[in-house]
This record gives sequence, C-alpha cells and structure tokens, in this order.
Amino acid sequence: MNAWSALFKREWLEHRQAYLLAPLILLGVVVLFLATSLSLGSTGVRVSSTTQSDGQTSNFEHIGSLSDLLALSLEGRQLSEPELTQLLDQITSAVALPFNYLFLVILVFVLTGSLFEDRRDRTVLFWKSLPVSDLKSVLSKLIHGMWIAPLVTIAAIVVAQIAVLLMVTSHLGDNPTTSASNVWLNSNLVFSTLELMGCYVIAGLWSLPLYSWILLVSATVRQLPLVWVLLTPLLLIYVESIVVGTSYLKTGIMTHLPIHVLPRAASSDTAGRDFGSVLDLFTTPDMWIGLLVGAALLYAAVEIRRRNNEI
Amino acid sequence: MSLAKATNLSKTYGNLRALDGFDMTVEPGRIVGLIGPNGSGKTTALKGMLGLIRLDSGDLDVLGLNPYRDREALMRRVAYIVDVGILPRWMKVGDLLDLVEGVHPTFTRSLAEKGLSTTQIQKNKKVRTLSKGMIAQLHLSIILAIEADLLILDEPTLGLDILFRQEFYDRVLNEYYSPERSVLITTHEVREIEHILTDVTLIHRGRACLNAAMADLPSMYLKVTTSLKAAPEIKELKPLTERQTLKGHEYILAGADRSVLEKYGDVTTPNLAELFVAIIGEQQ
Repeated sequence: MNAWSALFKREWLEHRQAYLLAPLILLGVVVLFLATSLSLGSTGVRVSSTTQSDGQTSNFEHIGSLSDLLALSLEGRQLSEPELTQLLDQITSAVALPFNYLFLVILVFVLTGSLFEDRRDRTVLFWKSLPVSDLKSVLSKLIHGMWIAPLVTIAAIVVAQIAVLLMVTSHLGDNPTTSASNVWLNSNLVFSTLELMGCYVIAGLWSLPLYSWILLVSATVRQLPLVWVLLTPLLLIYVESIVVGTSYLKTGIMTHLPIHVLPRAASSDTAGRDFGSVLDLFTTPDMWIGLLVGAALLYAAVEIRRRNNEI
Repeated sequence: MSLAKATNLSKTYGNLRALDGFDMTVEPGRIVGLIGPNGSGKTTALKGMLGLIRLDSGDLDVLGLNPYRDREALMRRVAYIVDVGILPRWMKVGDLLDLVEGVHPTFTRSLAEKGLSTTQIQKNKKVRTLSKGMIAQLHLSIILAIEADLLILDEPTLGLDILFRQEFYDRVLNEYYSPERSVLITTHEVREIEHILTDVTLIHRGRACLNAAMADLPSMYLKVTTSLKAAPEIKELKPLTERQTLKGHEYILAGADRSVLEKYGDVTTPNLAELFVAIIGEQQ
C-alpha cells in the first residue's frame, strides 16, 4: 500500500460512520416513503416539459399523483418516449437530491473538524511523527472528502434510483410506451451515474475556495471552528455591503456552492444542469479565479498546519 | 558527525522566552537526558528538533536536515514519543499498524507485531479500549519497529505505574539502542533514567546550564558530607549548595580537589537531582 492510499484509508476509517451511515439511513427513509406513498397513490408530482419531435413542439403538464401519471393515458393521450425519458430523469434526479445535500452537509462538518479535532486531542503529535508532509496530509483530507467519500453517496443514490424504478415499473398501466423495458431503457441510469461522478469531480474544483476556507479555519482556530467557518464570511459580507456598498463576496460564495454543479431536476424555476454545462464552467473566469483563491487559502492552511500543534 | 546540533536557539511565545540561547549536541551512540524544571524550555527544545515549531533564531541541524523545513524527510530517521496517550483512540490496533506500514518506509511490521505479542494488546481492539500503560506499550512497539537513528522521548512514561516504566526503558535499551543510534530523553523521574544516561544537559530558563558526559561528572562535581565543625573551611571553597541532613552537612562543589575534600568527610558524586538543584540554585 502506498502512502496516499494509506492516508485515504485513514480518512475513511475515521469518518466512515458519517459517510456510510447517513446515506444508508436516508436510503431507508426514501425507499420507505416512496413505497408507502406510491402504493397509496399519494406521491404528488408536478411535471411539465416541452419536447420537440418531428418538428412539432408538444407541451406536457401533469399535476397529480405519480402512479396516475405512469399508468397513463393522460388527458386523452399517451406519453411519448422523449416525454417518458424526461419524466424518468426528473424522478431519478429528485431522488438523488436529498443524498447530495446530505453529503455536502456532512462534508462541511468533516472538513471543519479535520485539522481541529486532532489538535484538540493531541493526536496531531502522533500524525506529525510520521514521515508525511503537512501538504500531503492536508491534501489527503481534502481529496478524500471531495472525490472519494462521494462514491458512497453515489452508490446510495444508484440503489435508491433502482428502487424507485422498480416501484415505477410495478405501477405501470398497460400501455406500450410505459412498458417495463421501456422505462428501464429510458432511465439513463448508467449514464446519469457517470455524469454524477463527473459532476462531483468538477464540484471539488469549482468549490475549492470554499473547501480551502474551511480547512484554513480548521487549522487555525482554538475553539468553535464551525462558528468561525460560517460567521466570518457573513460578517465580511455585511462589512462589504456597509463600507463599500457592494456584494462581490456574497455573489462569489453563492456562485461557488458545490450544489450548483451537481445535476438537478429541472423544475419550474430552475434549469436542470447537464454535464455539458458543467464542463463549460472551465471556460468561465469564475472557475479559474476560484481555483486561484482556493489554492492560496489551501497554501495558508498548510503553512498554519505546520506550526499549529496542540491547542 | 553529531546526530543533532543545536546552537544558540531562541524561541519566544508572546512575552515568554521559552528558549534563550540554548545549545546542545547529541553524538551517535549516546543516551542524553535533557533535564529541567517545568517551563524551563525542555519541550520547546525538543519540538524544535522535531520540526514541530519554528524557532526564532539559532542554528539547528538534525541528521543534516533543517527540522522545520524538512520534517517529512526527518521523520524517516527520527522517531519520537511526546507525552503518553497521543495515539488516535478511534483506530483499531491493526489499522494503526497498516497506516504506519503504508506511510513509513523504514517501518518493519513483523518487528512491531513481535513486540506486541509480548503484551496483552489485541490487534482487533480499538486504542480507546486499551489502558494507558498498554497504549504506551503499543506506541513503543511501533517506534521500535522504525529504523531510526535518533529516538526522542518527552515524558514518555508520565502517569504510568512503575512496572510499565521499568519495562519501557528496558525495551528502549535492549531493542533500540546501539553504537550508531542515540536517544534523547526528558522526564521528571530523573532517578529512573539516571543510570542509563551517557550524557546530560541541564536546562534552566531556556539555556543549557550544563552539557556533560555522565562519566565526566565525578571529576567535575563532588558532594561532601561533614560535621558542622568543618563548615567554615568548606565554605571558603565556595560550595554551590549547603544542606543539612541526618548525616550532617552536605556540600556540593564544582571543580574541587577530591583529596582536599576527603579530609573533611565522605566524598561522593552527587546524583543528577542534587546536581540540578545545586547548579540552578547557584544561578538564582
């Protein structure tokens, strides 16, 4: 085992309860919720889509129960295949959403404690007795958090999506478009999972300034790191708005929230993101400025980690 | 070539001068005791040598490296235990061995396992379930499986019972120490390590007030125990300290002639604790 994998394993062992247990519990809740509400016919959905096929634009809107929608012959006509694809996309992304939020919340907590807890319990003195530079140890925590730990969440999402598709197929009415095989073929499960992985990779880069900020606070403060992580930016945003009258910091922070980069269901007020638009982020100055700021904050975190030991 | 050489080290924390021109050297094959009262700068000096803190000024060379700048390289050849019980409590013993094996190029796992086999420690147990003494045994087993040239121990047995303390130092001597490798120890329990030391550095207020080989101490310092009668004559020799005991008056003298002192009473070599009190007392 090389040093990096040993360090990643260390991170995993320390935080596996949070990374593993939380999505598993959520998975249980989601599956239970969908199963009961689908069987009672009470899962309400609001689906609207515009699809173009054969030069014709068709508008589709359905407000009502999911099982009705699937059993479908709605408003006197059947779902077309593009409509079915879009519908399934929305269902699977809606299922993914709470998992992504949960993961990001856990990540904030883990990163906040990552360079703080070991100073408090003095184990930092043991970690520093190993031939691992501070840069390497900080990077191992960051990379594990933003790129390795999400794999568990992604796995849980896939299981939840398979479960929901199984439920959907068991509620199908007898029309050819919504046959079980058509549902599976149109669900894009494999592709959307790969997309989600790609999005997490890019989300790490996109949100690097935020993650690095958390690490910097975690390496620096002597108490209440979460309070510092959250309140300092709020205070700075407030000061900026009072003194300069601008809101660059607020915009910057909001823009770089990782959730913006993860795939979402399109709803009436937000556009869904596809992987292409996520890749396009690399053409924006926002990405590169963010990476620069993130690298600077990370450098500061590593330098402070070098000299800060026990609290 | 010395393994560690500290010259004129200084470190200030706010108003506190933790190190104030500290010097010391560790040669190969030595067991050096760094002895001093609380707050004398012992731990700061050791942390400087381990690259854990950045010193304000002075020259520090450990195994040819600048510790603060090259901590990663330094830790391949320096092992240390500072304080008891700093192993991660959430980790299982086996996972801890996996980790050290993964990141440490000179760690020999079979050696560590062999060390553990003489203890009650089981590999599937979490560190938090072990007693303080067992955690120290575990840490020592890990450290002794590293091919280090220099072993630094800062209060490694604090709060352990006497059996563990004895076994701890026995293992350091038997399993680690060799003519090429050195140990640098600080402890409050001076008496427990006095007999294994080859060198001693006394530190007080951030300065080394004595750097000497233990073998040279008998020719440098003498203790004479006399009756009260002889006191005025001994006082003329400017003793470092004077103390009244059941056996009579005890004086500790630096650079005195043994044959002269023998006229007044029993002459012995003071132990480190006595010497320490004498030298520091003189400075105050």
